[in-house]
Amino acid sequence: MFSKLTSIRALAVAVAIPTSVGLCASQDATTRTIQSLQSHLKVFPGDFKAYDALGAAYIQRGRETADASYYELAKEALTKSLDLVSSDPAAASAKTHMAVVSMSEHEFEDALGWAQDALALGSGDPSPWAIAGDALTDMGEYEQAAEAYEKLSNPFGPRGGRSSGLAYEHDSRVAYLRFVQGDSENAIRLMHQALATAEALHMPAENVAWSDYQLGEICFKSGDLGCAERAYQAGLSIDPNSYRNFAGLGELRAAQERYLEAVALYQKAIAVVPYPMFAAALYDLDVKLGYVEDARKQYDLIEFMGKLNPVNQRLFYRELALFYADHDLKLEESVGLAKSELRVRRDIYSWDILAWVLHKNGRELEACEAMKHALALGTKDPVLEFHAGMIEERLGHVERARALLERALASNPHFHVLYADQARRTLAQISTGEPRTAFCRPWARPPKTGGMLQR
Amino acid sequence: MKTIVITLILTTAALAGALETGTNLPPPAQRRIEAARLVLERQPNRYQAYNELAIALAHRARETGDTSYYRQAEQAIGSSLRIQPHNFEGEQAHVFVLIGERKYQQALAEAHALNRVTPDTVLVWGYMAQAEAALGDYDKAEEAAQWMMNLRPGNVPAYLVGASLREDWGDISGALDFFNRALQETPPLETEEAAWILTAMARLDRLSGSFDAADALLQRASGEFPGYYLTAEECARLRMAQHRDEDSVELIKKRNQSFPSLQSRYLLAEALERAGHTAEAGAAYRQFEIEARSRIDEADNDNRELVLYYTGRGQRDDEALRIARSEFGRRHDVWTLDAYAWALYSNRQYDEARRQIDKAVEVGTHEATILSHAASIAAATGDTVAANRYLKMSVEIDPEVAQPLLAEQKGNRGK
Repeated sequence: MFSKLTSIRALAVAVAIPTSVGLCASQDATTRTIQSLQSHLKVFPGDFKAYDALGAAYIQRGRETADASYYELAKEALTKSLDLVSSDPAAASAKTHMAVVSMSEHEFEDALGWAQDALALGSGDPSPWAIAGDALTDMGEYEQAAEAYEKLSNPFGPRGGRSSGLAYEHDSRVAYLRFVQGDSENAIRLMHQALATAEALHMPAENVAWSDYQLGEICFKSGDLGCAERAYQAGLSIDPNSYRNFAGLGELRAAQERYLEAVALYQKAIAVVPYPMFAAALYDLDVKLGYVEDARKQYDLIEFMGKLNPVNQRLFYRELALFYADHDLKLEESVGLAKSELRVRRDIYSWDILAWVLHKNGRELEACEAMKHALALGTKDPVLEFHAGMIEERLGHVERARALLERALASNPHFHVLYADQARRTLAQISTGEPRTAFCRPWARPPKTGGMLQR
Repeated sequence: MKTIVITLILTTAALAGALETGTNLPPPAQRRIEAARLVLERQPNRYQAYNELAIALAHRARETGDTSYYRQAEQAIGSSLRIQPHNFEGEQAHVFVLIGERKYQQALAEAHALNRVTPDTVLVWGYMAQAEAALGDYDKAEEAAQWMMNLRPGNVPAYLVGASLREDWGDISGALDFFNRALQETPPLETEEAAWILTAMARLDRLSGSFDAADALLQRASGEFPGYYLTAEECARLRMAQHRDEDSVELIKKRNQSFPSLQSRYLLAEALERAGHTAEAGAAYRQFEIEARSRIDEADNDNRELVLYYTGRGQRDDEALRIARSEFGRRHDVWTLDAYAWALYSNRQYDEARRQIDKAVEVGTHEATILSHAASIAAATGDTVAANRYLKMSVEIDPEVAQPLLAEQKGNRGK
């Protein structure tokens, strides 16, 4: 779930930008905004700013409904805006929104191009650097992403230093980078900073709630369940419909073995936005609790949402691949999905998914190679450690497998409703089982005997 | 004579391979031309793509020095306006092209018309500011530039226009500040834009006598956009200021291998003369003269240099005055005022020369040559106080420019 963070985060910018047209998290308000702008444009068809605002409203609608067809409507509106004005600095807003649409559709190179076009207009607004950084993050270019985020600190800004809005954009994003780089402590600190800024600025509820969710995720993965609880609850108090925080709290409840509450929370999340990853988590809980029929419904929902339209298919490659691999379903298809995801998004989580599906397909050496990329930054994520541990175990690297699985469980003994138990079982087996025989450079030493690897 | 062109950046298809550095990608304008043409292949009636193509072509003219791109840009605009008559972006693109072609009167008129339709477009205010400054109405230029900044604080086109105006007013540090801000906001892929700004900053450092700083900036500019002719020209000027005349000759000869401008031809002649290649310099001056004379009545002329040439080694003072008067009829910027004043002075019309040079100095220019001319003219009208003041200012900026006048003063004192 965390791996989806970047593209969701990008949308937060679009929501924050057109506050002048009164967007908020309420679907009714968005609908009214869309209708109002449509009426306005019938009378003033040359109003490029209104087309831009309409595009932003469609983007918001897409977020609220998870229906990717709204992004097509957004593109149409934004294209009309740019047909009217595209070379003036005023067009930077529409181009930034185009970048957000591209991010939403996982067209990261396009998003980067649009963000750079927006910046090239020289409007004086550095916020497109946020989208550029997000696109680079999803493309796995973390150093360049960090450079882009640093541009959000504009020493010549109107306040003579870092404006608070840009400080929020900067801190919330750099927090994620710190997390993937293994620095959870600073990630948490930066998220707290970002939240303080968001609250001080009275940012829209959905933005603040999103930041609470992000903080909650980092805390959860770092094993600080108290911090995660506070963050998710804060998110829900500011936005009672925050599906992300429902899901985050659901994950937390599952970790606390409060499964019925977890189910209820995921159901609330799905009721707002039926993302496949929520359905996948609920599926696992239903199976754990023996709710077979409910589990079947979640499975059907996953299949339906994942294949609703071509854009949805692209958006949910990762979630589908993971779900299939976790449950040993359509394993060959899961490899295709993971590879498709990696073609567009080359971040550590795409490598992780690929590694996991390859492992599930018995292609351990390839899995090992992929896992190297996933762990390259030293991310302290128990899910990554679990996947890596399972691959190492299959390759016969028992000590390394043990270290990884123990680390995963140490950070959070219930880090995943399925994986945590699997990690424990595997650790037990490692103590008694036979080592396997295979290589995985560079961790493996060349065999001296008939292939028995020991460290 | 400097030419400031606001860079307009387009939206087109996504930049593939955007992660690579600028040196690995085609130049920015070239990429945009290709992207616009790609769109037009699929959608031949998409007028906005023609607009984007036009702007990219005009931008390519600045990237390369090849002014034929402006003609192509005009054709693209024509196509745009045929498909969608009076479309704002097309008409705005036309103003941009006119500015590039230095057709300032026409650009100003069309920009005014656009401004009446849509008064809150930053770029149109910018075109008006540029045109007004080029024509010599600095008050109106300032007003338009301020509108740019007020409409969208911190926008790069406003910084660039503002920097140019500050330079005209003699506020060099202020100009550098604005250029620096513009540079900070220039994205990494806009390599030509960055090189242009760095070169402009280097020029200011050179004019202020900070040669090392200028050199460092030009190195950066070369790194950003290798082979950039504007950087090469500025480097040649810097080498001349550093008395590295042979280096200067080499630089400008290389630059002139591709689309030499009138200014670069004159620069070569100067460099050759300073390096002691008298015969070659003479030939270069003649070449310049022939080309410059063929464009006396065109917008893209170099009448200023031609006037200075005729009042100096060309020894045709009357022709200098004729050309200067003709140019003065078109525009009253500081460079034209200076050339006109100097031509008048060379023809012993000292009072009128004084009137014109005073107007130039009033703007606040920090240019040593203009101040040196002002000193000579003031002396000729008997105003020794003003003459000494201007001479001192000129010497402080660039002692070498004022050498002939200083020598004359010494000689007079000796008598």
